[in-house]
Amino acid sequence: MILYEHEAKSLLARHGVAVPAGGLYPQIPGSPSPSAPLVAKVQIQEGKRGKRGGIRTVRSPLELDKAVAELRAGSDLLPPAESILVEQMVSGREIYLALMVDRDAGYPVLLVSPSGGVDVEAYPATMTRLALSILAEQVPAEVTQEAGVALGVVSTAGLDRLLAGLWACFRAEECLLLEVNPCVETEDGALVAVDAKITIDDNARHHRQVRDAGTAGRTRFEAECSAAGVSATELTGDIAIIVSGAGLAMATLDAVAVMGGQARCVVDLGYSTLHSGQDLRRVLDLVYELNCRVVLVNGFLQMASCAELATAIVSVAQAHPAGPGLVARLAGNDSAAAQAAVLEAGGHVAHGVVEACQTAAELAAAATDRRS
Amino acid sequence: MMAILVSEMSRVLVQGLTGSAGQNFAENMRLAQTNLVAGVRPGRGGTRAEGVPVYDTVAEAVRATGATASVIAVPARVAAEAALEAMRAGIELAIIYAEGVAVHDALRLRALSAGQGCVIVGPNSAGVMSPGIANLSDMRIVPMVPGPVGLVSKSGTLTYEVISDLAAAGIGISTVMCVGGDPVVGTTPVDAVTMFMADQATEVVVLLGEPGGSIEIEAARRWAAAGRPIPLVALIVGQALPPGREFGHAGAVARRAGESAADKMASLSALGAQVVSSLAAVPLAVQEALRR
Repeated sequence: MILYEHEAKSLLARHGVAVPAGGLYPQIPGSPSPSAPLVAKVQIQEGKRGKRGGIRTVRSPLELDKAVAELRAGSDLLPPAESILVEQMVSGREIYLALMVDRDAGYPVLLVSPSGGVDVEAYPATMTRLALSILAEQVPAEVTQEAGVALGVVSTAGLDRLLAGLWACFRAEECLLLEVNPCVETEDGALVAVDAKITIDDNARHHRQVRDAGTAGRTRFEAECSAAGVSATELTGDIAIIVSGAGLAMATLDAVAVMGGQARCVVDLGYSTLHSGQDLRRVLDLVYELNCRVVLVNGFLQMASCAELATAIVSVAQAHPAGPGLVARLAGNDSAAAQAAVLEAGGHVAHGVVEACQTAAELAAAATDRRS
Repeated sequence: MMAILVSEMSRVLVQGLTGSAGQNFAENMRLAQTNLVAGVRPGRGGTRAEGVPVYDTVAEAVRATGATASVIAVPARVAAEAALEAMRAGIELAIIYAEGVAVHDALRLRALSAGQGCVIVGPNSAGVMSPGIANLSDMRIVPMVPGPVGLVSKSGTLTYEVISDLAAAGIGISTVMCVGGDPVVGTTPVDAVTMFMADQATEVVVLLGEPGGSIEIEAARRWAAAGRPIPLVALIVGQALPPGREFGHAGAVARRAGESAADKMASLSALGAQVVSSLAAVPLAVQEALRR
């Protein structure tokens, strides 16, 4: 779950990290004036928000109301959005700090750079990477010291406090990423988190009070599949791909692309979905409600039953008589019965990944020709 | 016969034997004549299930049966704790089947298991299987033919495909190791490739990878540094994955330069691996590698 900036900052503040005074419009931190400007920031999760005009400096109440109205309406570069964060302006030297899980290494790392405002993806040469142990209650003194040298900050005590707050937040909230960019070092040496991005581990939901799972950054289809316990990715083509397993999902997507087909979505049915008729049916309904030309099912099931999967698909397909064509490659447990069911329902049965993807691509192309 | 991680001597217990996944694993073991010796399920100690005694704790099961390996078939929210229990009880190989273990739990597991003599595979691992030796995996309907190929993959479903295609080409498997598709796992492809290089039964390694991270490149680097003792065939799926899109829980997302499927394929090639671009191309590449 990716938090909005204002959510991320509330969380940071709760863990003792300094953030600019502010709130969601109309709760504003005092009236803006030429000597004490405010900043209005649209709350969206897409990148390069500032460059796209999503951050405005305002010097009077009139300017503020105008900026809020414009930000809410959106522009060619920005989607419309309701939430506008209004904060006191904090200026000074911009630096970069992030805590993140290094998946390959299997431990958290602290990334710091004296040049803030950069993309972490760009990994500038100025980035210093410091390894941490998830078991450590506190950031070790030598890590703080090295970060201080790399960042060139004036106040060691300030950095100590900042890192303690970030680390407490990272561990307590089970963050995958906690990025403060920029962090501003003010003239009096304070370190303030001027922008923050936090990703919380969805798999850790059971560790805390149930929180809104958050649908930001996901399409309605993806969110509803997720609610049924299934991971799905929505794309823009015309072949809906249903598979068992993320690895096979990608291999199938690759093979469809090689055959000239384009995926409408990729749905990865996990173990529990395959063993739960209700969730399976719900997800299949969602797939059939997408506007697509072909449904391609590619499963090699070991413990779950191909026949049960085929029965569910056939029943949903029959509820959508004018719906997409069906291509099924079902191997493994109960495959013979599954193939018979698909054939009887007028679907195509394929006997390998390549054949299945080729058939799906051809069917999609033929449907396109008919409609054009 | 040889293999990595398992042997004919492996004595296996299943944590969560009384659940549906646990029962399925037990059935797979029975079909493959794997030595299942015990089950663990708190509160069911003293009963029997799947033809073996059930114990309340792993420690009791180990004391009573000499179990050396554990398949952990419990829900994700308790899987990391179950693996730590197995480790503390002296289990040498613990396989975590559950998908979606909290990442910070997996990080703690990695930190606490380092240097403890317990190989932790997963979470989200389909298991480890050596044809003719032992089956600690969810694989049932794949051809289990012993042979020269060591197979390592995050994804279970991809391995079913490759094993079947290889068998159709008359090629068998030494060991399949599914390292697991969760973001943070105990044993990585680097470890797997290292083990395969030291295994007498393995004459060629097939490495199946995904976009994101650099662990496959690390594995190939380790292999190259060891003097490329056996051929390495590699496939990175997700070549058609739109940039920045994440797939499933596999954590396959190219976040940085060099992490796309194409970039990783180029890096693997440069290190001397035989890189193929589709599942269908794996058997031929393996045949060629075996001829060299």
